[in-house]
Amino acid sequence: MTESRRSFLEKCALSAGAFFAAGTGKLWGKKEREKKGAGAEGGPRWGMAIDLDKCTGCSACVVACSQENNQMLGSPEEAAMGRIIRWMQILPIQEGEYPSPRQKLVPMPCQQCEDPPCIKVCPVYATFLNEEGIVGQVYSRCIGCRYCVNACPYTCKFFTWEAPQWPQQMAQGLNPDISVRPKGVAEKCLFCHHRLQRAKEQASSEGRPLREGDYQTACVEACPAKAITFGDLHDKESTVSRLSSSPRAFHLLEELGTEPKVTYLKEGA
Amino acid sequence: MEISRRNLLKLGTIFGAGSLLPGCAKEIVLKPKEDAPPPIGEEKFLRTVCGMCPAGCGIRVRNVDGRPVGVSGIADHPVNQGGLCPKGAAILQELYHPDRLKNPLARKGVRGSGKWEAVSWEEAFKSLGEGISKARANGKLPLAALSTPGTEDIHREILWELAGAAGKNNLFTLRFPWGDLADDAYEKMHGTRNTVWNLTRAKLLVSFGFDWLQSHPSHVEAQRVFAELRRGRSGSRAHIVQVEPRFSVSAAKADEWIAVRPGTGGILALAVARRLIEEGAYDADFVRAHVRGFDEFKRNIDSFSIRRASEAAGVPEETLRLLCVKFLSLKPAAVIGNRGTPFDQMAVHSLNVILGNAGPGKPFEVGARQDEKAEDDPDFKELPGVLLVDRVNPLFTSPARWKKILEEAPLVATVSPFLTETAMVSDWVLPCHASLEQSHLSFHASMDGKSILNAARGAVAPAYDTKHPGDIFLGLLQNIQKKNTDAHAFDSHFSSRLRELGAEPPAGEDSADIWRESPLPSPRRSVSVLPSGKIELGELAGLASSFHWPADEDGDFPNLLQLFSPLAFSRGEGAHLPYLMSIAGPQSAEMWETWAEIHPDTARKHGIFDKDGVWIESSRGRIRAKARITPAAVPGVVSVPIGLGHSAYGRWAQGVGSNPLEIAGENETTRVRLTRA
Repeated sequence: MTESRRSFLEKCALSAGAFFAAGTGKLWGKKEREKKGAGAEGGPRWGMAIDLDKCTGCSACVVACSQENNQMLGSPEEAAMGRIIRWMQILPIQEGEYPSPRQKLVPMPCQQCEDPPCIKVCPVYATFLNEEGIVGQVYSRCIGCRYCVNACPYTCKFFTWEAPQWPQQMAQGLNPDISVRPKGVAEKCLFCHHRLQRAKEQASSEGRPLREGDYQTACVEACPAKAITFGDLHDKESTVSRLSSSPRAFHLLEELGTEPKVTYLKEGA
Repeated sequence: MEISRRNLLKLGTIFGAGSLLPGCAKEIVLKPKEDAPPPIGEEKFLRTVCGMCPAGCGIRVRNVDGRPVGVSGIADHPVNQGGLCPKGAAILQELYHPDRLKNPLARKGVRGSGKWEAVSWEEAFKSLGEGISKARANGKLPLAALSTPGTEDIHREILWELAGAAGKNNLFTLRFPWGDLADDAYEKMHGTRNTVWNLTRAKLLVSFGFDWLQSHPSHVEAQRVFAELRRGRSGSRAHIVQVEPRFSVSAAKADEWIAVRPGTGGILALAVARRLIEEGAYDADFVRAHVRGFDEFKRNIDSFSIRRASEAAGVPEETLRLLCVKFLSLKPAAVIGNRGTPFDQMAVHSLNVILGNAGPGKPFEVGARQDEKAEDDPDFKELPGVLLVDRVNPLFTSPARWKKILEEAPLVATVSPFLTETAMVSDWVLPCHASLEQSHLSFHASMDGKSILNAARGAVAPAYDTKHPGDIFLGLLQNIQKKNTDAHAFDSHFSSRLRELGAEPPAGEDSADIWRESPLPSPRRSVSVLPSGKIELGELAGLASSFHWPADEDGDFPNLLQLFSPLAFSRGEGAHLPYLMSIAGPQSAEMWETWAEIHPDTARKHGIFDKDGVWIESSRGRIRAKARITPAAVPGVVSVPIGLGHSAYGRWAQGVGSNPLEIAGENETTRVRLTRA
């Protein structure tokens, strides 16, 4: 087939244009969907509500998370360097002084932003927002540049300075659903994503849709004060949706526009 | 390929288009595919009882290929209702701890040298049995057993039997004042330690010196009760006041923190009591009907004026008057304290008495169970032939009292899954199973007054040559009764006890209930089990009349030491598990180190800066800590956590931090001085 230079260039330009148009259309569609609350497609949007009025800062969530997600054991040396990784941690916020100080003890998992600053800086797409709103992390892709660790305004991304070590006996208790992170990658709370996958498996094996309560994170399950609630923010009937629109609800660093999916309920009546 | 103009343009266009791919297309290409979770082996859930403390929570253990890999609470269990405390959540670290004892050990070399020889159980039982008979032949106390207070389970039953077979009055318990309720006051004033605190009934909760959110003996229930007091009942929100020398977690979560000097809780309570009586704001009908010694009490607390108490405690008078108004307007109140001095305990509890907070349907009730006849903190005028230490660590939690006893006792045997400080100076170490390997048959009283019987098999087979504590006591019992040792004696004893209690079959599978309401009745109808049937205020009145007010400052030791027990290390246990080490101080994000909370003014006086090393020195000795300067601290008070500073107890605990109990006096306020290290 003979083709003139003109027609060849025309075709190229056309196909590139079409590609652009399709992409822009898709992008536009996505933004629109987000504006509408992204509920149009009916998929879940996982979120959490933490009631600071009920929470006592007991740290059961911290230990339950560590156990569930195979987190490093820690040592005095690592503690002194601030290198102990806990995906869930208690953030103490203190103000005032003796005799009338005030203190908030705030459980801090990844805030699972709807517009996560950590994703924007990742040069290798190792961190991403998944279909259901969970900010994921792919260890095998991560090049350990730590851009995301610095970009996270909540300091909820961590860098593995060393490969974690478990004595042989202790390694028997590792959760088989979760990989052990190697040295030199960023890691973060994934809302116990493996539990979602297991729950989906279970639901599909029983030939039913996922129900509220099928998927709970380890911190929620452990909380002795029942201060943490977890569920689908798109389901307007869910407890977490109801709490997220409570007059007591607020988000951390709301002014940054990160749109966290972890909502806090303030103390007081 | 020939590099013609045409080909160059072709390639250029393709690459150009590729590089111009819009973001979304990149996302399609680059967005990671979410793999299915890796296949796992056979998964099974088993139900058992958490043995990390005596509270008796029900837990669900996830076993994969026969190995426990996860733990959660049982949703309908009456004690924990699905929740876990950090200790329960760390239970797998106890099971898989690399420094667990694997077989019985006999001391080789001098005591405390750390040289051991692995021996068989038969040898250990034989040798201890001989020790008991030898002491008996010499007319000495043959055996003394030391255990934790307040537990009622199958191994305690067998320990009783063993103690009874070896002699009389030889069962003792080890107090832990920061984590026990004011049991001595309840015993003296109501005739029993078996009491029920139904705190959710209170509209006003006042804690004198008890950091109850971190140190309450039933951790999960304390957190749940707090949540219920806050948001449990619609439209009703309890008011919580914390009177404490430290800005603790309970103080931070309370509506009001009244900062006081250490050792003044009792004084304040009596001053408030005096004021309430003066104003006629006490429950006169209740006092008339149920209290003995009220007139004497009223007379003897006359010197406890608001003014004097305010000076002694460093609290404005106005604050105390406001507290009285709260007592007046918010009813019923619940006033709680921990197990400090008998005076403090009784003075604090006297507020419940005069306000009529005790009795059926009220926050404080008298339980129906019998008290066990065990004595606390023995002095051992005559040392026993064999001292049997049952899973407590007196050398760590009460070193001043126990160092000498443990040095001089002829034969010491310690039951523990780890080589603790006390085990280190023992002659025999008898390793028991980890919590998840143990069968459980135990009685508990939940905080809402339910009597519960837990019955469950262990979640996993024992990994080493260890025994159930009950099995150890039974082996020893058989030895001193000269019976043939039967390897299955404990199993059959366990089964027959289950049958007797109607708890068969012993549950374990995920569907089964591991608990049932105990056949024992719920709380008593009366307010006291003393012969008079009344609440006794006479002893407190006596103490109040002979009370010595705290002395002024001591120039050598200008500061006061305030000890507290973080949840991670409740009862002095927990530092052996790394996950608990990492949550030691939620209020200052301190971990893996002993820290001392100091007010900026106090620190400035001693030239100390934040995160400096400091020596804290009392007349008994000195310890090192990391200074944490916080404006929330009470000036002149140094607060230090209990639980670190182990010289043994496994690789993660050993050599980390300092033990402030080495420089603190028992039942008294310790004065210290600070120097920069």
